[in-house]
Amino acid sequence: MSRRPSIRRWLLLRSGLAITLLHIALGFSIFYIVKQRMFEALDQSIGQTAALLGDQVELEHDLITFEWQEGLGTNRALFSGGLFQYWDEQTGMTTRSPALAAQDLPKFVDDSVIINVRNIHLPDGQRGRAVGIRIHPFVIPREVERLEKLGRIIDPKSRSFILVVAGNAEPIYHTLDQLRWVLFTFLGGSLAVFIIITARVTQLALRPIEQLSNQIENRSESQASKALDIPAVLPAELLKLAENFNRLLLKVSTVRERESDFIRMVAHELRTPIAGLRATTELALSKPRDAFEYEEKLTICHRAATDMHVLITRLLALAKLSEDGQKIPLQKIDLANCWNDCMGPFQARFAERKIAFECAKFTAPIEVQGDLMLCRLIFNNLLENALVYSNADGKTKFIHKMDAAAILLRITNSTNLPLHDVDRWFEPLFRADASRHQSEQHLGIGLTLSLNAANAMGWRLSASIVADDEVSLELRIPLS
Amino acid sequence: MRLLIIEDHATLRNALVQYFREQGMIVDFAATGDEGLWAATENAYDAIILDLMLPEVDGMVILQKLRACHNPVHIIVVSALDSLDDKLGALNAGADDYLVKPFSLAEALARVRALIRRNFSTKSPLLECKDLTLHTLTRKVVRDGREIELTALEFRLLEYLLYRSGEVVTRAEIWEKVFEDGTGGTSNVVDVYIGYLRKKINIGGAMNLIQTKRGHGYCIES
Repeated sequence: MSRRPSIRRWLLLRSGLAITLLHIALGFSIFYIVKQRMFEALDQSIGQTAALLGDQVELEHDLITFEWQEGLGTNRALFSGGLFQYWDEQTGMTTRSPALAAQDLPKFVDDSVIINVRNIHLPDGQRGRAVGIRIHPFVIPREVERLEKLGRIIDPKSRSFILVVAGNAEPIYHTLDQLRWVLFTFLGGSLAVFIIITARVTQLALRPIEQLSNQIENRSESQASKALDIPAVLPAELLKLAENFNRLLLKVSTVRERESDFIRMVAHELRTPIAGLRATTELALSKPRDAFEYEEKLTICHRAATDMHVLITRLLALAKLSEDGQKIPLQKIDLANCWNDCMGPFQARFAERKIAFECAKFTAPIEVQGDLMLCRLIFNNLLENALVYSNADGKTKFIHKMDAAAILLRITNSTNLPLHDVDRWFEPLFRADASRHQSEQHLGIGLTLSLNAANAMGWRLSASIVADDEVSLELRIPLS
Repeated sequence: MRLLIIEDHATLRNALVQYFREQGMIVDFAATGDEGLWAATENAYDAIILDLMLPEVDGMVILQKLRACHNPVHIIVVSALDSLDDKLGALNAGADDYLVKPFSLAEALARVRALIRRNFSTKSPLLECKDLTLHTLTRKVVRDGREIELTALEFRLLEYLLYRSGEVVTRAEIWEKVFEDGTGGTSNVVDVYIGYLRKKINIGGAMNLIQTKRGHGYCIES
């Protein structure tokens, strides 16, 4: 089973958990409300019975009479099932309700103002609720008059009884047990139904993702970077994802196309000199030749091998500089000195091609953070580029500007080349003329190397068209 | 056989030119696309070896232009581009064959010869007329069991006549296809070389195979 996060599992688990918690809270609430109401009703009934029975003790003819016993016949329905018991606190005698037979209720009394009903165990072991109160017998006015005539003053408060009235709570507990079972069954059932429905709903909701996934999975390698066909019914939540994915595919397609171009170009750059080498050696071996001819063929092969060495060295340098995260240890270098060194040999070559070369010279050292070898590589490539691509009798201008943050070097040259695809100039092996492969001419790697070298040092190299027939390469170097 | 090589890479171009010349072909060459296009349109070649990535005018453009003006010349494209799309692109544009660099010179020669044979009725590298046989690969000429030594030009002349055996070949055609400088020239030179060739192949009083068709040219009976 996959350990990867799953939207379906996430939805099921979390919504299931939420629903469970909600159901538990609801179940507990229902259970406790019902429980409370049922016990309240029982307690109220016990309290009312206790209140009734509290007034059923009469002092008459010096005797205590329990009136409920007198009306037992007519009040049977009221008292026959009742559980109550009196204790005479003076005599210790006890009187039980008929339902108790000879069994005693727990004896207790609560003298607080509020009637407190407490849990007890009934004599038969069942659970019950009971209230214990202290009562005094009442004396009817006629009996008081009679005793007063006899000169006796009777204070009913001098006689006290403890009355414990109980109610069987077992049916409530039984009902609550049934309710608990119903609630648990409902919770389990509704959770199961919820999970089934949620699973189905999420399956339906996630189907567009699966369809997109299948569409991607079923693609052949040749179509790998082709945009997805976004179904019209794709949910709005997924539309943006699919559109962004298509944008990514478009970028991948562009990168693949450029890589493909690069590979084709590298193949061309390498295959053609190899073809030359093979043809020359095959020609030399095709028939017996004299020493001079062999020497001639070997010289050609040697020159071709040298050209290929230059090409491979540059490709390797490009690969090395193109490595992600390539860090070049930087040190302080004198930019002015480096530029003047590089520019020197080019002046004669510009003059030879009759290209006017305006160059603003550095008059003082300029220290920047960089790598001297890479700096020279960039300058040589920029100058070489200007020299080769300037039209004859054209013009090349070099200026430099400095502000507090950086120094800006700009080489502008006129050119007859079609000025488009400026962004592609920095692509490896991109050349205005695709056919050249001589090492002394442009391989289409110089600007790519320069860009990678500049990036490696934290410099910035860019190209722009400044006029219909003028192009500018700009190098921005942060001041140390 | 007259061949044009359009290839900008000097080392490869020079090797091709020398090799094909050593194999008895008349070879012209061009280093740029525009020169190559001019040569291909101005001269009649039996085959052209054409690179695709050329300076000035692209090889594909040359191919399309030649086919657009119904030039029937056989064209072998030689290119470093080896993808199926590149091959299909060139073949669909009218190339007769496609060779990926690097390639063997012997293979290039075999393909050129195979293409040239398509111009004529024979499909075999062995050209025969009665008791005379000419092997285009080994460059041997044998008559009645005896090998005959020919110069490169005489070999080309006999090869051309054998390829077109049964046809009357004009002096102008011979001049154009067999001689190094195929422009201008005189019929006398053709006659002189036909004479040389007759002397060499009609050895020991053998039957004259090269017939003169007066006012028209020459013919080898098939």
